[in-house]
Amino acid sequence: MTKPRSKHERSAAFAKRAWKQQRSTAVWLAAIVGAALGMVVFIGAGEMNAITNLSDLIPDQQAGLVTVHASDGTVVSMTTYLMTMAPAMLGMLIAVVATLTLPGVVADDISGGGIEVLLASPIPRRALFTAYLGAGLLLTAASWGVATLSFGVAATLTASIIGASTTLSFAYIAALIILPLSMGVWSATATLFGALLYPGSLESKAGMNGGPIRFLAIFPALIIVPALLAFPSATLTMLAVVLAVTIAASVLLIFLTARGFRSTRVLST
Amino acid sequence: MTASAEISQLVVGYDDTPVLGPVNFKLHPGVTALLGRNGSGKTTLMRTLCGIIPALEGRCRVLGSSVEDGAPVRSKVGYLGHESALATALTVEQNLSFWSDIAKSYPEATVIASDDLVEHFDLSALLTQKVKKLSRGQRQRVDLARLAMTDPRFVVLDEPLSGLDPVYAAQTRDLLRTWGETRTVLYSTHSVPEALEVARNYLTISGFGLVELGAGGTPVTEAAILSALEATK
Repeated sequence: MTKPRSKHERSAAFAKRAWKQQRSTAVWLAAIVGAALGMVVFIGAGEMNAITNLSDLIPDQQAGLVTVHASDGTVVSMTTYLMTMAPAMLGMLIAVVATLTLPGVVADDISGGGIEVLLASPIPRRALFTAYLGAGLLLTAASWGVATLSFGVAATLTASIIGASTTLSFAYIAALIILPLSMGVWSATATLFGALLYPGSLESKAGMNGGPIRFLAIFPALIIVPALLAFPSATLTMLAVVLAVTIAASVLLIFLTARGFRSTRVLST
Repeated sequence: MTASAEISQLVVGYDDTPVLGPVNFKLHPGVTALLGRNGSGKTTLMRTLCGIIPALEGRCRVLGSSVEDGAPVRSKVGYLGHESALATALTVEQNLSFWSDIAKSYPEATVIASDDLVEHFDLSALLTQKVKKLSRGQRQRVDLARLAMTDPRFVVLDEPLSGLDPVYAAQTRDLLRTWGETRTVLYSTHSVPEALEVARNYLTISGFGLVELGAGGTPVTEAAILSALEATK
């Protein structure tokens, strides 16, 4: 027999289990997509940098977010454009990784008998939800950290190999941190909202690219790119808006999920 | 004898749709079998007794307390669902570790050490195996160890013998009888002969109500149980 421990360790138990269940997907997938993006932005442009009227074909790059120079010092427009879009693309990738890993955190409990046993335990419903949320956010934070780091390392290595140099602005660095993190947090909360309140919504359906909740989870990431392109001179303002909106929406979704989390929603009859 | 569970005017169901009730009964230490036809409300009743879903009407007291959300008395309640509570992607050891951590957070927790459970349920050969690789009987054994971890006084099991091979089924019947010597055990089954072998008391769902058989030591026959079941909706 052992003595009872602090109830705060319950959340740690959920987080530990989620990590064991999903770490390979959360870490390796994030590392691969981050590194791939870091390489693609420098080598993906290929010969397109040599097109003379490129400035007529892609949006204006004079916002000063980031500038990439070739080894001879000339600005490489297409690479600069890809680099500018990298934070938004990274945000989308983190959002997608969250939709792939988080359903697994609760799926076993809901499709098996785990949720019944947890609901029969003296753990209050609200505390159960908090534990699931904590585990989900931990996985998302790990994905974000790994993807951002691998992007940075891969981009730096690729740039040095091809002899390119990059000038980063403060706004760009802020975007590189804020966009993926906010997209990941939103995607995590939206996915948990679906898993706990509408478990059937995470099932794949033809034409919906993996179910309506997955679409909802990555939707903000889909509109970030056009939003940034539409207001190239107000990037910092746009980032602040994106951060504020996604945090507010995530908090609202957490509140709705906590309120609507009922045993009858997750149990089949 | 003091009742472990007192149920009065209880109506159970989902989202305001009654499945069974109103029913009145008491449970005492020993093994009680819950019998009923498919869809009669056995699982819904057991879920309600454990507080997994709220009662639509009436009163349900277990071990002297209400089983409302977060009630400390639930530390003394053990539930085994029709599906195992184990994460399929994890090993047996990782699953037991998770449930041990969870159980230690219960108020008034009594947690039996995993090593003792492994020995008692003969799990040492399974510890490093992933649950998805286990047979139904092996999963059941691990899940019973998980249930026993909190040393529950009120044990509810939803069809614990279905799908088990004869050896595992015999071991599980022995376990139920052993638990019944010191605890209150309610288990559901479709097998009348098996219920007659394992249990001393019988609750038979009949229509929207329950028929209690065997109370006070009255002998119960298979014909009496079947007769009660035939009245099921």
